[in-house]
Amino acid sequence: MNVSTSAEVWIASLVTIAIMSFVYKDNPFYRLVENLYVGVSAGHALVLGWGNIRDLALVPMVRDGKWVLVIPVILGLMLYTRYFKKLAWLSRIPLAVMMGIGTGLAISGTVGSQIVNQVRANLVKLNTIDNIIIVVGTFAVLAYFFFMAEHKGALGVLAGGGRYLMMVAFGAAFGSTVMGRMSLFIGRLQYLFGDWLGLIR
Amino acid sequence: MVQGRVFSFWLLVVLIGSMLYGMWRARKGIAIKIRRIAGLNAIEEAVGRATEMGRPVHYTPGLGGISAAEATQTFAALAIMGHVAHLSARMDVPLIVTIRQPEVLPLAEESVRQAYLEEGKVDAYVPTNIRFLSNQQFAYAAAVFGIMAREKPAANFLMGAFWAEALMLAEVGSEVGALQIAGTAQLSQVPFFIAASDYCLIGEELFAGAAYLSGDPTQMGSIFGQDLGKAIVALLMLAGVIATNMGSSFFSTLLGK
Repeated sequence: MNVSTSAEVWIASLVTIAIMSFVYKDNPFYRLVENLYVGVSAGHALVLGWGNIRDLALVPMVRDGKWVLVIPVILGLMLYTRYFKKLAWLSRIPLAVMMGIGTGLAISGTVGSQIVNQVRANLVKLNTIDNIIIVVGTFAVLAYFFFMAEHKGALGVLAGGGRYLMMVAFGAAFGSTVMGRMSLFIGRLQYLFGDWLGLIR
Repeated sequence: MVQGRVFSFWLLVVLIGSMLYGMWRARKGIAIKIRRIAGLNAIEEAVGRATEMGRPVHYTPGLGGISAAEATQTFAALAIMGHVAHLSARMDVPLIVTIRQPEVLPLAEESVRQAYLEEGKVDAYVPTNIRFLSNQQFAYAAAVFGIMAREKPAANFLMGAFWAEALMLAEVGSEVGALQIAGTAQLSQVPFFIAASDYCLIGEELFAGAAYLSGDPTQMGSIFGQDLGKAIVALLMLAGVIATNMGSSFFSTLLGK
């Protein structure tokens, strides 16, 4: 047994155990680490935020003369007007800009990747079982997502089939992700029993 | 026009047209009905259960922001949250909202406060129940676990965009005995919500649910428009499959433009 003498390894190991102790029940050690985690991430976010303001706004403006960047800086500052009752309405402007950007980004990616590419993937010869499942499956799942009509009759049969197909796909995804999570868990155990306690190599 | 995006552009025009048509129909007063979605019908039951048990309701509008591709899920989650806030105010049950993205906080505060105001219960609105926890994914998740373990909500709503923390959030909710209603369009996380929640809104059901609960004719019309768009895409796909099997590459070429 070759227990680590590194303070870093000890802290990481004890924090790991404290977090994992939540599996048993909520306890003071978990609460301590929970607050530590939230606090550290707040500090980290503050440093990152300052880094972004400095590198993406202040330096390009002052050094490179890109004064157009003053617009996002002003929009950012306007977010804080919500703390002043008379000016609070101003904070809605940057929020509206962000929401507009978000909606635009969502639309631009959706049509190409989620509609056109899906349709193209279905333009196959129906000469194999795989291809038939792909095409019929796509129509069935699409039928499930029609909201204006009750799932009755032919639409009901098709949508019901789509539901079963989705569950099969979700089951496979669940299984593969659980396997991935197990490997993460094994990685933590190797850290505890190897790097920390030196019981395994 | 950029090669490879021409067809996408015209399809987008058609889809926007179908949405506008749906909204126009709704504004003209043509009734729009949508099929029953089990998860939506269970919302009132979940809040009612919290009232009977004397325990709070927990709601998270997901971990997505409002300026990325997941923004639409956050908007839908906030719309559903407004409905949950109305029910919570009406039934006098505390509503705890946990937030990951700082820019979502003012929207959530406004939405919940407005709901309490409309229910005539503005005095019952507790600003500290709308809690920004951390913008770091797992720090947020750890803090939500703690809140759920200590405050034991009787109803847990997980709506919006989620990533690797999805199963853990749903698992803790299940552990404290909450009736859970989840909904996300992150298809990689849907399996976990299906496994660990009582009800799950899958993909587009989240958006349809938000529109349905809002009761806003324009939003309801957008569901009609979406269905119309889906029918157009389905017809396009059907024609493409038939043409391909008859040896024509017309649709493959068309979609590649």
